[in-house]
Amino acid sequence: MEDLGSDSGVQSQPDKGKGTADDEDGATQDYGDTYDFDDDDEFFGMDDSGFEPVVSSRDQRKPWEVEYHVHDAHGLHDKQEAMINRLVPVLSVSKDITTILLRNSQWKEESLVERYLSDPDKTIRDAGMFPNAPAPELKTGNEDFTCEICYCDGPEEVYLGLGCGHAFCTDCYVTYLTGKVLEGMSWRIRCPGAKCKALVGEQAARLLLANEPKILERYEDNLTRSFVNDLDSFTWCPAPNCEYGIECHVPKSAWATIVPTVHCRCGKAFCFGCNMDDHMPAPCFLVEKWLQKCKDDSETSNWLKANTKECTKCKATIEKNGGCNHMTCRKCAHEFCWVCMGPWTEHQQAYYQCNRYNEDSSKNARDSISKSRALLERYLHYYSRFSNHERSAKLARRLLTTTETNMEQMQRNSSMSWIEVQFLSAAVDMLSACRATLKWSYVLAYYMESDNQKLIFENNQSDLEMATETLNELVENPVHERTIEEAKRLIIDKTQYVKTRWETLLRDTAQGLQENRWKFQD
Amino acid sequence: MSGICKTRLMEERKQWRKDHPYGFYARPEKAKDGTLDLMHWSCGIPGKEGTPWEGGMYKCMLHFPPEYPTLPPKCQFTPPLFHPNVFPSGTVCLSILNAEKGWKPALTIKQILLGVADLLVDPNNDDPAQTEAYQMFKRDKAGLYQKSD
Repeated sequence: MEDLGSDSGVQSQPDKGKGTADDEDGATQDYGDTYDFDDDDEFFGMDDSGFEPVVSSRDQRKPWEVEYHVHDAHGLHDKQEAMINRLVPVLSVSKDITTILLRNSQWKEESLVERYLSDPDKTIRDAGMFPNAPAPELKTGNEDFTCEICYCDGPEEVYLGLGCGHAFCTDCYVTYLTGKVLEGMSWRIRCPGAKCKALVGEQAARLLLANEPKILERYEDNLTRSFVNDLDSFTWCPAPNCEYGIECHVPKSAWATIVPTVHCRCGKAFCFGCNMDDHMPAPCFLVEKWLQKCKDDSETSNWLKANTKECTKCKATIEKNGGCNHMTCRKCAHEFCWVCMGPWTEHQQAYYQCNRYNEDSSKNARDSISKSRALLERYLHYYSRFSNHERSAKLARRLLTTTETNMEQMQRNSSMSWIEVQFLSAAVDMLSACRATLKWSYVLAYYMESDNQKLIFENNQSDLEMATETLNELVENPVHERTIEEAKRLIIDKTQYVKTRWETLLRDTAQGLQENRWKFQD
Repeated sequence: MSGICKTRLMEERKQWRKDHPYGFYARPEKAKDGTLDLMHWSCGIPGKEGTPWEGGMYKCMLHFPPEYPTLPPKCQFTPPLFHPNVFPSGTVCLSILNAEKGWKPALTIKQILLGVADLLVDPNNDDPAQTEAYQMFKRDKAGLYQKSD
């Protein structure tokens, strides 16, 4: 599966802060710049071979990065063709049938070959094709032909029949195919015959749609679409209007210990596993758990904390909306005092001397409540930091606009050229990357069990957080009581420092996840 | 498209008159000016012998869209039937009458009506169209639709 030599270029990792890339390797740098941010894909698809040997991305891959390829439409098409062509001699049937077999088995070559070798005819029939059917062709001049859709007949009709024996005139066939193709279907289109399960193969479809270039193009698009959707090792870039497909061979089973972040050529960074925005360093399963929890809890938890208490017996959440302090739980009928949370039985004689603060029963009750409150507190601690970084990341985007004004101003107020003020935008890029990482690092921390390993993680986290905050302040107010030259030096230094901290955190978490360094709790 | 629609329906009419299943009927409605309205057919499905439907004649309309036969006709019982797969409006919910599921342009009126007749005897409770009959069928499968031997 590794490389078929036909993909549209091995993708090197675009650096988060692209301007401050620290690759010493000149050739690599060049390569990255030309490829990562070049949107001229025509050039790409046609002229890929010349660039192949330039770099092996493996040598420069960081511990938290995964190997992947970005393909444009041509690349995806070539990839399909290569897989099909490789299997044709193995199965020694026509390319049309091989294609359908592969598509029908979700491109799982091994199991397909196994099934095929044990019973070729059955495999082909199960897939909706016919083993010895001649290649589809348009026929005419048949006296007995009647189209079962429009009932036109006679020798002048042009028609096409599949191995199932149903034949229809080309007009009806084309109308039928057009409808199905516009619904988004491709190879799963079946013969129009009543209850017939035979598939209209790609060869027949191309023959019939030869005079409908637009529909044919759509048909080919749908084929590629189903190719990417059916294969586990491919996915579409989720960015709106982005047409690139990503190939990544990190298996699903590894997603718990590796965060398969990929960078599409359109600039979008996302997780190959769950298609969410990049969520390093937290692995997919924690992200999913966390988001579900936030959906369930965060809105209400603040309110609950402020306005409710829990029944000491069954933990039902109770809001006191009036009346006296003698509470009777609706759920378990436990009677208790709202003020001291102790059982009501002890209050019956002398309620207004509810001064039993240290008495065991009410103390126990308060303890059990504080335990569940503590869980909530813990969650809120992490949640507030998570959402705070999320908000800061959004603000960082706005910061980019002010930074641009700042950069213009600097150019006017000093002798610096455009290129010399780029350090500011590099700093902002770095900031956004750190905010995103910090945000998800709190999710990782929330689920981590406390031990020494967690302490190390938290030290890394706080180092990065502190550095990020300092940099943020500098960028927001660069020339505060400083000369521009000083500010520039300071910001460049700080950006570099933040980058080191950021890489340390990512490297450490990537390795830690691999080594199962942390225990996770619910 | 409408060109094909008309010729196809004329042909369907011809085929039906030549041969149709016993007890069934299907004919285009008469328009106000006395001509045939091929887009709307009134049909009758006889209850199958040995089932609770026996002895009845269940009347339904087939409404053909202008895109027929690319799109399927709508089949509607008048009056609506008490059956898990018949909507309260009387419209039949059946895979071969669904453009996204089993509809094929080559399905004939004969095949559609036979399919609906089978559905009467053999409801598909995974795809209910009305609650009442669905609930009852779920609770008492044997009693409601199958004749006890």
